[in-house]
Order: sequence, then C-alpha cells, then structure tokens
Amino acid sequence: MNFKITKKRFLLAFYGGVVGVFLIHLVLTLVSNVSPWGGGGFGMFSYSFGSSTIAHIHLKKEDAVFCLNEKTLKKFSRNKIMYSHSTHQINKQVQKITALSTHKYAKKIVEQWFSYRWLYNPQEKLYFIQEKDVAIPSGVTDVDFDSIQVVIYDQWSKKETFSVEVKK
Amino acid sequence: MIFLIKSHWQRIRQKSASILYLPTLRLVPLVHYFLFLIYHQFHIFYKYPESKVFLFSLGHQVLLLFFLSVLFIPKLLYSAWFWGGITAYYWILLIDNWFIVNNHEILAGYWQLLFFASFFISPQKRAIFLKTHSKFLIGLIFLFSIIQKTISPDFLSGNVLHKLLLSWESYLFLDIFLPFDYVGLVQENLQNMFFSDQQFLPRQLNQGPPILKTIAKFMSLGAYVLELSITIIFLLPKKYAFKHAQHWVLLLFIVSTYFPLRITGFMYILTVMGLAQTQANQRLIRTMYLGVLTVYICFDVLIF
Repeated sequence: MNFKITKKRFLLAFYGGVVGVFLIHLVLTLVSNVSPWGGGGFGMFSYSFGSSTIAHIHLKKEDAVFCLNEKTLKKFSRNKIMYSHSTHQINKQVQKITALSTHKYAKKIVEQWFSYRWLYNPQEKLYFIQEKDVAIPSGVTDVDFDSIQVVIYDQWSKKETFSVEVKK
Repeated sequence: MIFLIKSHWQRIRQKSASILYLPTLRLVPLVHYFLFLIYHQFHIFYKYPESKVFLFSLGHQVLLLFFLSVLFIPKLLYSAWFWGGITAYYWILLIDNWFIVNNHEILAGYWQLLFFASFFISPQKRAIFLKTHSKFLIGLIFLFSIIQKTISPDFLSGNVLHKLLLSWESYLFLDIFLPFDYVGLVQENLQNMFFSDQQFLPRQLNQGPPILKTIAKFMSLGAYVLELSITIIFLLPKKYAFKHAQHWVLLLFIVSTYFPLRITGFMYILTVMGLAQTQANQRLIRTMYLGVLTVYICFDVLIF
C-alpha cells in the first residue's frame, strides 16, 4: 500500500472522527440532556448547567417520604454502579434496601437510573444528598413504601424527577 | 532554597539552555512525558477506571511500571512501542467513559493519537507533521468551542461567568479590584448552596451588586474574542498567517484564562501542542512556553 495514501486515510479518518464526535455531541446536547461540558463537544464553560449533579432517592408512601442515607456516591458507569472508594457505600445502601420486603424494586430503580444515565445528563460528579428532615431514623431497618422517587438537580437547580411504583 | 539556586545557578542555566535547544522531536516527548507523569498519571488514570477490576486496576499497576520504566531506559521515550502502549490504554479508557470524560482529556487523546501516528512518518517530515497538525487541531477545537459559545444562550449574556463569579473560589483574587466585599459574597453563596443541598431546596444565590453581572459580560466577551482570534489564526492558511502570532495569542490565552482559573489539564496539553510548533532556533518562544509552565507548576504544586 502506498504510504502517502495511508497517511491521507489516517488524517481523513482522524479529522472525520474529531468533527463527527463534535457534531454528534452537539446534537445530543440540543435534543437530550447530555452534558455540554464533556464528551468532546468542547462546550465547557459555555452553558450554565451540566457540570455537576445532585440527586435524592426517596422512598414514598402517601404523604410520608424517606430520603436514603446516601452522601457521597461519585462514580457511575453505563450499566452498573461503579466501584470506587466511595461506591461501596451505595452498594451497602442497595443491600440495606435488599433487607426490605420490596428490595428488588428499590434496587431496580437505582440501577435503571444509572443504566441510561450515560445518555441522560451524564456527569462526572454525582452527589447523593440526604434531606435531614426525612432521613430514615437510625436503628430502623424496615420502611414501608409504595414508590421510589429519584430527584435530580444539576448544578443550577434544573430539576428532573421520575418515580417508579412498587408492585405489591 | 535561594542559596541552593544561587550555588547551582550556572548549572541550571546550562541545563535549561540545553533543553531550549533540543530538536522538537526530542523536546516534545520529554515535556509530554513529564506532564503526563505529574498530571495525567494521577488524575485521569485514577479517576475513571475503578469499575474495571482487572483492566484498570491490575492493568493500571502494570501501566504504571511500564510508564515509569522510562526513568531507567530513557530511550523508550522516543519509541513508537512505548507511546503506542500508552495511546492504546488511554483510548480504551476514553472510549469506555466517553460521555463523562472531560474535554481536555479527549483533546489529550486526540493529541496522543497524532503523536503516535507521527512515528510512522519519515524522520525528516515528522517535525513538520507534528507542527502542522498540532496547529490545525488547536484551531479546530477552538472552532468547536466558539460554535458552542455562540449558540449557547448562557455565555455571551454573561450568565455562566456570573454564576461562577458568585460561587467559585477561583475568582477570589478579584476582591482586590472590586469596591465591595467579594470574598464575603462568595462565602455566603457557598454556604447557601450547601444549606440548599442539605435541605433539598433550590439553590438561591445572592446576586451581589449589578456591577458583577457587567464584569461577567465583559469577561465573557473578552474570552470570546480571544478564542475567536485563536480559531482564526490557527486555521488561517500559512500564507496569510502572521509570523509567530499563533504562539503569542495562545500564550496570552493560557496566561489570562488558565492561570486565574487553574484549569490544569487544558493548560498542559495546549502548552505541549504549542511547543510542538516551535523549532530549536525559536528560543524566546520556547522560553515563554516552558517559563509559563514552570510558573504554573510552582504556583499549583507549591502554593495552592
């Protein structure tokens, strides 16, 4: 193979890739909640949203709300919760939910949320913050709830909420 | 410290002068390796890979040994095998975490790929290849940045910088120039944000005096003009380009933007790419790049 052609092909593929990634990322930031701050779109500091995320996970029953005691989850992956020095806390939390009668639903919603998070406002930083007023009291090992709600805030309070009903 | 510098001044001068006169193909891998070692090694490779037990834990240790082997076998620094290994690992990491990877890490990946590809170019044309494509790549990414800043409703209106000015500690140095208690304002907002997050309330920021918004708009416009200048100068065909203009405008951007905001990743990678566009006889420009780098590292590592 002619070397010059190989070099040309490499450069074509390389710059095609660079521009392609930019265009895909640009479209995704416009039509979905993909963060403009990363991913090769070079839009950092262009938008006031999308550089960090705060989430609350609620266990709900009628008017009662319990916020999971999750403080420092930092890492996530496309289809699973990432292991990190802090991630064992979420694993522990999931296990705690596992102790409840409806464990699989709680686990499912956390995993489900993470599973499409790569396309849904994916951020480097994710903080689970507990509302003190509605924290599960210490010593309580069983909480009755009929839906799990996930509330997501980005850096500037752009709120997104979804919930899953628990089938009894 | 000063005594040590004084007593070894002659030697330091000779060493630094010899670095300045290195051919591009010697200087760039050296600086790139050094920055990779002090920054990427401890940030990128440790940041993302934690879910991959084998590849990014055991693999990481193997990579670390492989990477450090250069200290014992300096020849590796100029080997395609060495950079090929690093590039392959880096790209696995990037592809696996694409949407959450920071932009400067992706730029580093692009540069890494170009740098590795340059090993397959004939030795006579390698320096020109690096020079041409590092310049074009910088132009291209600044073009992307300008497109994002133009279509964003938040940037030119000053919203982004205003919010950052209200709640980011990197701007605290502005307190010297502002006629009100700027540090107090930022501290108040940081406390408010912490409280809001704890109490599950929307964040309410004290907007401060209107002059802050005006400053934000002015700063946004300045950054926009500077980035647009870089885009034009770096993408301009050679026959229209001002001599060395790209270096001065890039250095101005690095010093005025990355120094106060301490954006280390972009600063490092742009400096290496800038150095790749210099020749051994461009001593002043090389001194500027390396000087800026040294000052930044001193501030970042020793002071902050």
